Amino acid sequence: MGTPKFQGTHLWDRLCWAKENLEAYQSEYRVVYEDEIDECAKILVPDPNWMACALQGGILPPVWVYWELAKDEAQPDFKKHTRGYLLHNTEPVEAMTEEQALEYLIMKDCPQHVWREWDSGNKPKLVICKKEQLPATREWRNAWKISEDLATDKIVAA
Amino acid sequence: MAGKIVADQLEHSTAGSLDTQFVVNGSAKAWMHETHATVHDSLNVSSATDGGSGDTVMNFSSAMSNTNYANHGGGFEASIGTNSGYMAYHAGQFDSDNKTTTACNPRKGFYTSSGGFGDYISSTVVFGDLA
Repeated sequence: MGTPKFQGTHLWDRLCWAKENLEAYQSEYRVVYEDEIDECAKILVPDPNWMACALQGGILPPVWVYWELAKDEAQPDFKKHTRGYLLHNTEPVEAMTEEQALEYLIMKDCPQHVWREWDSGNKPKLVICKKEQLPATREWRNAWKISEDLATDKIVAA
Repeated sequence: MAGKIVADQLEHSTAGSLDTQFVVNGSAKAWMHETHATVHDSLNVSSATDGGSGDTVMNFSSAMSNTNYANHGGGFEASIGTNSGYMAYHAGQFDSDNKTTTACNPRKGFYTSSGGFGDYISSTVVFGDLA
């Protein structure tokens, strides 16, 4: 199914269209990251309806739009968004591969200090892995950290 | 968009009328049903972030206008005996500091018989104004 010409349509309306017309896509990938040294590893899971939008193309705004809104929100006198039109009027991004969609999500939903400097420390602060590479149970969940040994056939957090 | 109807009011033949702004303002703007951040179904969610027990951030696709929106969540666990189905916000950890126009984290889960805090299936819903 082709995507209607959505530039200028409220993003929420586009998401409603997508939910009605696209098949949800449950990704097998997870993003594991550490943003605070004294906190456990966090695991970002793509939303299946959002993934369908990303793979379809023509629905989601470019990721820089979210960065602009975040800048506005970081101002001390922020009350409400006055540039929400960026979400709706900016030309939507074309269809992404699953890999590109994950990169977009990392830049949208992970803290910037994590993905901009993901490999600047003694070990990576961020890892993309398969769901099967996470521990099978949630035992000691609040103590999980990214593994020191990141061979791709191993568990990535414990 | 095709099929668009522009109307400020809906009128029933006998029950009276209703401004459509009540429908627009009163509808949930985002919701998700998930287990440990794996989303089963949702609207207006880009991802969920599992930050630990009872700690799941809901990230929005279409941002809210401000951070004064209402968000609520509930948890459910069917297999822990006397605590079956019990849900609670984690006392003292409602994560309002991390509430932004693109993410919220109503910490939710259940207290175990040993006094711990766990999580399993949960739902979150958001009402408010979109950007």
